[in-house]
Amino acid sequence: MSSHYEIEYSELLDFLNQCPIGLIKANAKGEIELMNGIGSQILFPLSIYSGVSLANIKDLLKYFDASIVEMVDSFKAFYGNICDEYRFQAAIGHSAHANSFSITINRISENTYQYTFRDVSALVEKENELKHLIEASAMQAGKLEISTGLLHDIGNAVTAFGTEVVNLKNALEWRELNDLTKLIKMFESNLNSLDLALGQGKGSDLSKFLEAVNKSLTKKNQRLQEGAERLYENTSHIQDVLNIQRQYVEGKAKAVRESLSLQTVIEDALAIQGGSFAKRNIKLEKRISRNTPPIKGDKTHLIQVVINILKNSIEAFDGAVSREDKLIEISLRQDEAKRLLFVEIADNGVGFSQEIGRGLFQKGQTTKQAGTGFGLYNCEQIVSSHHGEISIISEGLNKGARVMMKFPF
Amino acid sequence: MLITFYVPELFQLLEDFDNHDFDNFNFGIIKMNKQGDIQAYNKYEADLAANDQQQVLSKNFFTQIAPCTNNFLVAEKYSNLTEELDETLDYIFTYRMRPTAVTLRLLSNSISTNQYLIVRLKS
Repeated sequence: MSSHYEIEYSELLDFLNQCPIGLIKANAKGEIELMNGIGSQILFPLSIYSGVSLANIKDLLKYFDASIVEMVDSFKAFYGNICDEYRFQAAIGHSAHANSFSITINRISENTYQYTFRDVSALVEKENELKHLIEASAMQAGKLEISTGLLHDIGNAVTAFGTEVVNLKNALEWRELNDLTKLIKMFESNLNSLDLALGQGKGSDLSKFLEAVNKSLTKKNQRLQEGAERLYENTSHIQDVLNIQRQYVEGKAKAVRESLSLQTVIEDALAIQGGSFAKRNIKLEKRISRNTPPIKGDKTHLIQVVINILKNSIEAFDGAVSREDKLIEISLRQDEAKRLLFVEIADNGVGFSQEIGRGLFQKGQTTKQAGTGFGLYNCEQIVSSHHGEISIISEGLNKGARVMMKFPF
Repeated sequence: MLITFYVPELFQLLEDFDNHDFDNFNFGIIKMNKQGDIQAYNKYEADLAANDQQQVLSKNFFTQIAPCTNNFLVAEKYSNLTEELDETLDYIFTYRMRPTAVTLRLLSNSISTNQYLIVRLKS
């Protein structure tokens, strides 16, 4: 019958044998005295494929990484840690990938060494994946930085170009043509006096000549204005495309958003767009709840959204049946229970049919003759990036339109 | 008939024996199901490993009793078996933490629900 100590000893050996790490007791020469199950599980295949006996741990380790044995041999203290979680690799058989192992060696006494080790191949693989991800992320960040700079520079150049195009458009409004028309009318009403001064029939000839010159100049001016208009539209298109790209790149590069008030966003947008209301004789009605909770977001982009929608509403009267009661309503309200803020912009302009309404947020879709189809697409992208939603409805042609946005707070 | 470690038809011979007859053999016999759970563990092997024959029954041999065999050289040879397995190899067991040179014979086939690991001390 086994004694109490024998049972305990047996249990201890079983416990060590089952340890989920390789465990070896060896002497100074490296001769293995004790080894647990995982030790044999890991090292025996290495022994088979290296052809080195598993009787001596130093002989086996030397085959794969001689520096481990050098560390052991150069350790002169009688006890202490020789190496901690030192990693080495060992290819087994014809495997394309070497397995990775981690080994810790302690000197327990003058002639007793403890080797613990484990297979860390899966861990190393994960570390390598992470390393590649970090490298790819750094490369991506570099590309984003270059893209941001490039888009910024192109944007500046296009803005300057756009300003020149606007100047050109303004310069092509030749008021002198009106003066010439007036002069021709004056000549036509005074043909007799002209004939008297210039000679019979000369006054009429001069008037006809000026008429022809006027016609030619008007035609040329018209062509130039049309060209400038196309230039303006294309420039706007390029600016829209750049805005989308910048937004995309900046969105990737800048994840941090600031706390902002939608009330301020609306007021700022109205301040920028306000001039157009009086100019086009449009009445503005505001219902803005005060002290609405802030949201996290990009103020510039959100102002851009409100301006874009206001601009659409203003232009909605261009194609509508002429009316005196042109009205744009803008409202901001909150739903405390749902923790949502609602922004609505409605007009009683031209509106649109149901079929057109379905595709308005798609890139390239527009109801305007000179539109690029990027405006509402851009708005949708910005609102979505703020975890919000945007929708637009109209009861039909000439029945106005209503844009609704909601943002969580 | 003397049944030795190397007898060619060993798998079929073991299938015909009752589990308690395995104690008469002069080599270790571990009879497992296809999951590696021990069905029989003979006296020879129990003495070598200092394990109680009854206590190891139903335990998983590769993970609970002899983790030293839980690698591609032994345990994986039994898994995903499509044909007969009869392979002999030299190995190091860690009986009571003592590295012990043994010869193993791995026996299985796709018909039987049993599989065997036969152990012989290397002289």
